[in-house]
Amino acid sequence: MIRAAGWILWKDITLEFRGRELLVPAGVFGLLIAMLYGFAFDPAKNGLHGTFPGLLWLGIFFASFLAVGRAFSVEAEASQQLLLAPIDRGSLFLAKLALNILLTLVLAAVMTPAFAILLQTGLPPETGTFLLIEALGLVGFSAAGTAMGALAAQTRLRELLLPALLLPFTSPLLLGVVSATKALYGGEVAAAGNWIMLIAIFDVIFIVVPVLLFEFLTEV
Amino acid sequence: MLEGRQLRLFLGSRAILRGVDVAVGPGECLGLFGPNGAGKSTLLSILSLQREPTSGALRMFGAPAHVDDLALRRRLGYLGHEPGVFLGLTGMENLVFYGRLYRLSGVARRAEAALSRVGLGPFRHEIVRNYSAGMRQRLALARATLHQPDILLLDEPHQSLDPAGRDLLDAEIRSQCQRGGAVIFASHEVARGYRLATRLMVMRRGKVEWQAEPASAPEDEFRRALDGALGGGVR
Repeated sequence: MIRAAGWILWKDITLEFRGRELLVPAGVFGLLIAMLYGFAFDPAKNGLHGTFPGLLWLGIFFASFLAVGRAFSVEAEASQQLLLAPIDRGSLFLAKLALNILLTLVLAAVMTPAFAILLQTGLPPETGTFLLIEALGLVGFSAAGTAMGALAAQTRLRELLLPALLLPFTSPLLLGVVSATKALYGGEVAAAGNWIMLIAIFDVIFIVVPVLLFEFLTEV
Repeated sequence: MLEGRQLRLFLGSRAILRGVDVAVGPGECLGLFGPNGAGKSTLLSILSLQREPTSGALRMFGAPAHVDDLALRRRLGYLGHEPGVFLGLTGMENLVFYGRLYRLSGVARRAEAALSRVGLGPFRHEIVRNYSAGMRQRLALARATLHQPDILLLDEPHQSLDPAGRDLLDAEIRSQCQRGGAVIFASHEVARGYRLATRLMVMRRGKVEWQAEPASAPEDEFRRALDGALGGGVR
């Protein structure tokens, strides 16, 4: 399963590297959000440390949403052929999950400094812990997005269905990452640790369950 | 090699297949004909293990066949209506990718040989987006036969191909049968299909209306049977 997932990931990365259909639109969108926040909140007058975690994570989630939501529609016709190959469908999920994690990590790597500069907050203290929160948060978002994306891709209303499924499912994750980041800004590292545990549990659930159910998700 | 008995498929309350019996053995080439909506593509989708029938029994190589049987999938080759090749990869990359999913040894060598066989050797490192529709269909044929399947299932395979491409496809089908494999193809190419098939099957409204071997059924009899099915119009 892992080897087949690796080949599918290689194919997806090659397609994205050549077509830039996912990362560029999502990255531009993310940077535009940062700029609009900068105009709207006037960070020079209003200290934004209290609201920065919420603004940052909403921005990252919305931009990631664009990338993750389209991951199943790039070369969709050719991808249908993959269902005929002698591979476990769990490998398709793992490959898309790995792709989505890579995409969201790249987006976060671009957007986080952009938000910190444009909103004049700087990065949170305990940068290592903050990067752990970002990594775990994006793994969870990607896992949920991949599972819901697979389900939505089988329907005619995929553009409507995906946000309707993904946003409610990821709200506990959003609460976790925002609260953990806020705790870091407040110097409460222990409180952040509790939230990190919640995020990690979310990640495990949204990775394990779809791997087991992916056959069903692609047939619904 | 393959035997389906009383295959039925319902989508909701609508009957798409109404009890089709189908069988092919080594070296056989079964041609499916009939109007649009007769159930040819649906039958091929069941035989290629893309979907389970609502009822009926499907056996391959002496054992029951199900969609989750990966070992069985390895022995099937399928070419559908659409080429289904990755436009952002080169022809070579497409085949190498599939070869690796099928765990073939010497993938690059096989891919080169397959591309040369379908006349795409000089274009193997070009991005498929730049290929014409016919070239994409040739690439899809190379992909479907790369792993030398025992049973080759082709859904209107002559579509988009130029005369040379059609001849090439016919040669590929004959070669598959000569080496002991089986082919089932759906086609609207009446004369070509008649020449290719070792057995002819005319379908209409999800049922087999007529079948015969070309040796015992002259072409005009086949055409009359097909005209009768076409006269019924689409479902």
